[in-house]
Amino acid sequence: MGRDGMDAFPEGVVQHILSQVSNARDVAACAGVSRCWRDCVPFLPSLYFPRGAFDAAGGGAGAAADDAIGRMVGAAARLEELVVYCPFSTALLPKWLAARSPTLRVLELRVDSADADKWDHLDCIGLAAGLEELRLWGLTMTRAPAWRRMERLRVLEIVGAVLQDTAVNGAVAACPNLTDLALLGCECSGEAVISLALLDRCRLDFVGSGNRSLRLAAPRVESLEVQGFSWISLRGGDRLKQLTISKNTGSLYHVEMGKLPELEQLSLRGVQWSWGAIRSVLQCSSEVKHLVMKVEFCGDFDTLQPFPEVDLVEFFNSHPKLRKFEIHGAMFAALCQKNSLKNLDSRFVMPCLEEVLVTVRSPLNAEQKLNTLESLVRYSVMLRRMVIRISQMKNCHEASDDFFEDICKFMYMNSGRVCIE
Amino acid sequence: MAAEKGEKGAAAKEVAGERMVTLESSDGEEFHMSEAAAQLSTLLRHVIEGGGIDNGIPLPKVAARTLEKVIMYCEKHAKAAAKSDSDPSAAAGSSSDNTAAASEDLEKWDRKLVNGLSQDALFDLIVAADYLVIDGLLDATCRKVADMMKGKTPDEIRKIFNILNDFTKEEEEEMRREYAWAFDD
Repeated sequence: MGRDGMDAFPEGVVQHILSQVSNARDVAACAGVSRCWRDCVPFLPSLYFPRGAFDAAGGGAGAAADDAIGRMVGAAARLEELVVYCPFSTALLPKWLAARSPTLRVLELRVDSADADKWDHLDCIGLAAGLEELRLWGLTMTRAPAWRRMERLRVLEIVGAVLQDTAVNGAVAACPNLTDLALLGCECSGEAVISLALLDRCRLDFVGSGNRSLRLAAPRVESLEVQGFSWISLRGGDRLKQLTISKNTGSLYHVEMGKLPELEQLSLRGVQWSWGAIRSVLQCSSEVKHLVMKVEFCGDFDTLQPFPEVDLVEFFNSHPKLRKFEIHGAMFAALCQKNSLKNLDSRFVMPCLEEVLVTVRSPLNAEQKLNTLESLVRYSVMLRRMVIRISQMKNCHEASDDFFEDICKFMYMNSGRVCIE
Repeated sequence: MAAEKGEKGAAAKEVAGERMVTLESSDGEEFHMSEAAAQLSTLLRHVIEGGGIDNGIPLPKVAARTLEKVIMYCEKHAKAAAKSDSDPSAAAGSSSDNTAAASEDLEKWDRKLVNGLSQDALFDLIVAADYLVIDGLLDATCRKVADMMKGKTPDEIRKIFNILNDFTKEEEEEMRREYAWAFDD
């Protein structure tokens, strides 16, 4: 074929190839190949400036970045996606966005935290009225942004930010049609109030000291993950399929929600939850198929308390669709029979239970724990697999050895279905 | 039964005895492909709808070895589309994991197809996909070419693809200045 190669390409094919290139450095290289390629650059739909894009310019990196971004964004008349990870001057953002607002759909910016006091310039994001996706990294927001209604925005993600609660509430309120919301690793305290009619997926991970509360109204939400709130109110769980509530430090003392008729997966995690909150969530989740319970302590106040006893029969009768069940340490210890198994209706079954994962941490109440394990095997007709994880036993005396031996015996009697990790 | 078979709609859905079209490559070789697969090409779709394909469709712009690959792509994608259409759980929406896995497999298959081609074969396939208007194939092949350009200097790109540098000295200087940051000269 020789010289022909790409010269044989019909008009538009080179354009099609180049529109798959978005890394700014690659775009620059392509622009320098030939006139035809250079002329395609203004039609590129997407530009991506990686973190180290201008490192080669050393001390002049900042100016080089501002200059290059300005030129390339200015030239890309049909730009739809702009991603900037390298440092840039937020003061120039209004100009860039104003130029591309007719076509810009996706915007992702890493904001230098050193520029924190100049964050006012992020108000200009409101200029990009057609934005559908917005992702911001590392910003500080001390007040609600002055965005007008971002009607087209569907996806909003803010990661590693320092936010005032008024800022969060204001930003979300400016985007009434969001389907995806993620605020991750965000330092914030106070009350987050979020109301989104079209929200499908939501992930909120708030860190830092101080108490936080969440009021979320999302009638269509299907997947919800929250971490870091001590007080939660959820309105609109009718379509909720997956729910994870975690509190990695401190305690969670209140959860209120309605019934969750479509719930399939539920995960409760944390250091300390009040018993009222746990009961509240479990009562709303009667349809759940996959349940993970990994909370270490109970208690309504600062003192860490063990869990009250939970009746095994009652528990499984109120969650008859349970297929996968994972329960750890102190919560497992709280599962006991409360004499109900003695006068048991022979028709009691755990009809759907197929997989169980149990973590045992101490040999206290060994007999009760073994009884529970035996009951789980005996009454679950569909059980395929039970995994027992024995993490370091806290009291290292012979009670631990005896217990371990008993569990091994239990495993051998049920070989094939039970195993120890 | 016979009456049903006569109907156009029923015939199109039959697995056995499905309608085939005959294609003739530039070097005179005959190929057969199912009508369902041919529908992936906007050009072929129009030709078929226009009728008069009894003696086969000549494709003077597409060589045999390229046409073979085109047919492989179309048959694979047509089958995948038929499978997901007839999957009852797809309607229920609960098998979104399955559909995601299936499209991932299809992407893997596409990548394997384009990765196995020489540069000449790849370029021929691009021209064919553009001519026959097969969007998915054009995307997959162009993406491959774009991948080959990543991380390269203009010189290296020109060498790989045999492209003439038609800039004047002044134009080259200007490019060098404008994109100085991109090149560690």
